[in-house]
Amino acid sequence: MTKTIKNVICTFCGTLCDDLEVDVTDDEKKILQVRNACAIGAEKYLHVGNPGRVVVPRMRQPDGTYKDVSYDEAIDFAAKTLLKAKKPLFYGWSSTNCEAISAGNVLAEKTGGVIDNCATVCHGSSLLAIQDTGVPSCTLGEVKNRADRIIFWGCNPAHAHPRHMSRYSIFPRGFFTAKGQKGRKIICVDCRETDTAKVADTFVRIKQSYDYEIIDAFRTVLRGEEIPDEVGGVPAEKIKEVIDILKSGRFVTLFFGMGLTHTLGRNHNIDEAINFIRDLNDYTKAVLIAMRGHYNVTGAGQVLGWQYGYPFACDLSRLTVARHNPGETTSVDLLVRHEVDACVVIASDLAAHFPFEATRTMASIPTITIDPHISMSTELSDLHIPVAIVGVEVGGCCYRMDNVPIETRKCVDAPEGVLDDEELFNRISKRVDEILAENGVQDASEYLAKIEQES
Amino acid sequence: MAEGEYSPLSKLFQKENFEDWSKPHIVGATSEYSSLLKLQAMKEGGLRKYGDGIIISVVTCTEIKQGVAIETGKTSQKYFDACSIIELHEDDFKALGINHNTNVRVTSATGSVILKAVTTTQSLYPGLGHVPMGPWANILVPSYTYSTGEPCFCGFDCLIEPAPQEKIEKAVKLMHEKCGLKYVGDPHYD
Repeated sequence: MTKTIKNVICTFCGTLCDDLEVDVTDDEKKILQVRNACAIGAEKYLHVGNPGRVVVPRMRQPDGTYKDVSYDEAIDFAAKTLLKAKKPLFYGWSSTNCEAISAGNVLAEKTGGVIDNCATVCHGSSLLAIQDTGVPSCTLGEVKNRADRIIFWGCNPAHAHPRHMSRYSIFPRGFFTAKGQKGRKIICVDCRETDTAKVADTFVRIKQSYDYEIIDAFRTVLRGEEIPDEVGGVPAEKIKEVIDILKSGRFVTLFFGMGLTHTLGRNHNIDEAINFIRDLNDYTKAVLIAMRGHYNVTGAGQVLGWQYGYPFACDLSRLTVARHNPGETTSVDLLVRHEVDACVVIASDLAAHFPFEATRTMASIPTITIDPHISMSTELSDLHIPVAIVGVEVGGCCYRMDNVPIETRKCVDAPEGVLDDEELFNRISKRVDEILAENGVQDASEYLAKIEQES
Repeated sequence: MAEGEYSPLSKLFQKENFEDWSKPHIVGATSEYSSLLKLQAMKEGGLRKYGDGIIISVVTCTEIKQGVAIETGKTSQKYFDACSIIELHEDDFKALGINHNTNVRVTSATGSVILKAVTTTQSLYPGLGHVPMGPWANILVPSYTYSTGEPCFCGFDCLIEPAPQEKIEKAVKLMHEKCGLKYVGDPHYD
């Protein structure tokens, strides 16, 4: 017999779909089938039972091979490494729950580290722009029920958020959008004709990295001023056509992604996009939403925000005060400039998604990777601690891309003996406290002074 | 940037030297590198032609195949197939004089890597290439962040040269070799 668990929250992308159905065996050990999920979500649930999963921590030997160690040994190694480091970097957090992030922040505070999440290489510049300019936004439910003009700018939900279009933005029939796709006008702005662009009514192909100029041209046309015949590869008529479509709408939503944050201009692009939306509000209702990638990268920012006041790149190395200075306390810059002397990668893959210059530094300093699976980071680390998978083997709070908190659900038991992130951080914190007490010191800086004196 | 001391054009054929890479001037050298490269290419005739290769702007984005492969495992064949590619426009294939699915050497200001050149359903324009996010793409990504924390994942110039005889390296081995670590393999994926 099998059991069906309904309304399971998919923990892959920022859309956090909440309508999955998962068939599990009676003893709740194995997942048999997943319904309603996208290709990526289904793979996430189905591959859990694949052979070859790491269930005990692995420590790298001098000869390059890995040796299995116990959780106690791993926790002791982690605590000692972090205490010995002057400025450890805690990077990741976006694929775990908010409870674990909070527990991890406690550890970072105790050891005087820098906490940074995946926003630093994805929507960090959006957060900077939002701090500068503010953000007219709404929830995805409102988009579904009200929006009749959708713009996708530099994002490709067909690939990165596969069910976004069917659940919220293009196809669903909502309260005021009873005609579904027929009642909506979809505009896609990108330098590639993506699969999202193919379902759009209007595709605006731009020259790569001309986003700022084109948004500026949109604003100029919106104010009734003249623009040159061509801006960033887009004819003036096309820009005017798009503005007419937007002005005739009742509710405009702009979804933007890496195409704006990764190109030249960074936060200034988002700044301009926010101001464009503000200008549009003179004619109709308009909002914008960032297409956040990992399922809880928004939550990582929320937790850091309410605990220290900054959404990412938070430097706690002074132990008494939190600092945030993009370009200085951001992970890539810290690693490229060799300013950190230990690294903890949690629920993310630094080595696969950072520029190589940063990865090389990570490989050269003591690194601990906390991840359920083998990844590039685990293979360049000194210690790999496997944990339970959030949303599959353990629940917890996660934030959707529109800042709505959703409680995820457990489907099956974790392999025997495997800890979850929160418990692991609590145990490392406890071990740090024990080491400090054994040495008769109050905090990490005193501990460092003591070991320096002894040596 | 002093001539001779660090010439981006000579660096293309130079062995990768980690010591040099950590020098601060390399970090911000992307735009200077690109303009020098373009200048040299223009001297040689075609606007984008340089030796056997061409110069194109590269973006790195997520893709559904790459997303599924991440969940399957980063050491899986699926991930290798999904990420160790570069998508090019038909005109660029013609300019390079190669067939689809031929290996090419892609060189940026920060590194060089072998990738498979493929066509795509998500159309590009001539002079724009796409490498799915992953370890191969990140060898090429310049790490300069313009004080925002975000490196140049989209829009950096690369030289593409045909390299049909070269082999694409597996992800873990590639990272180990580039980081100067000894690769010994692992029973979990070898």
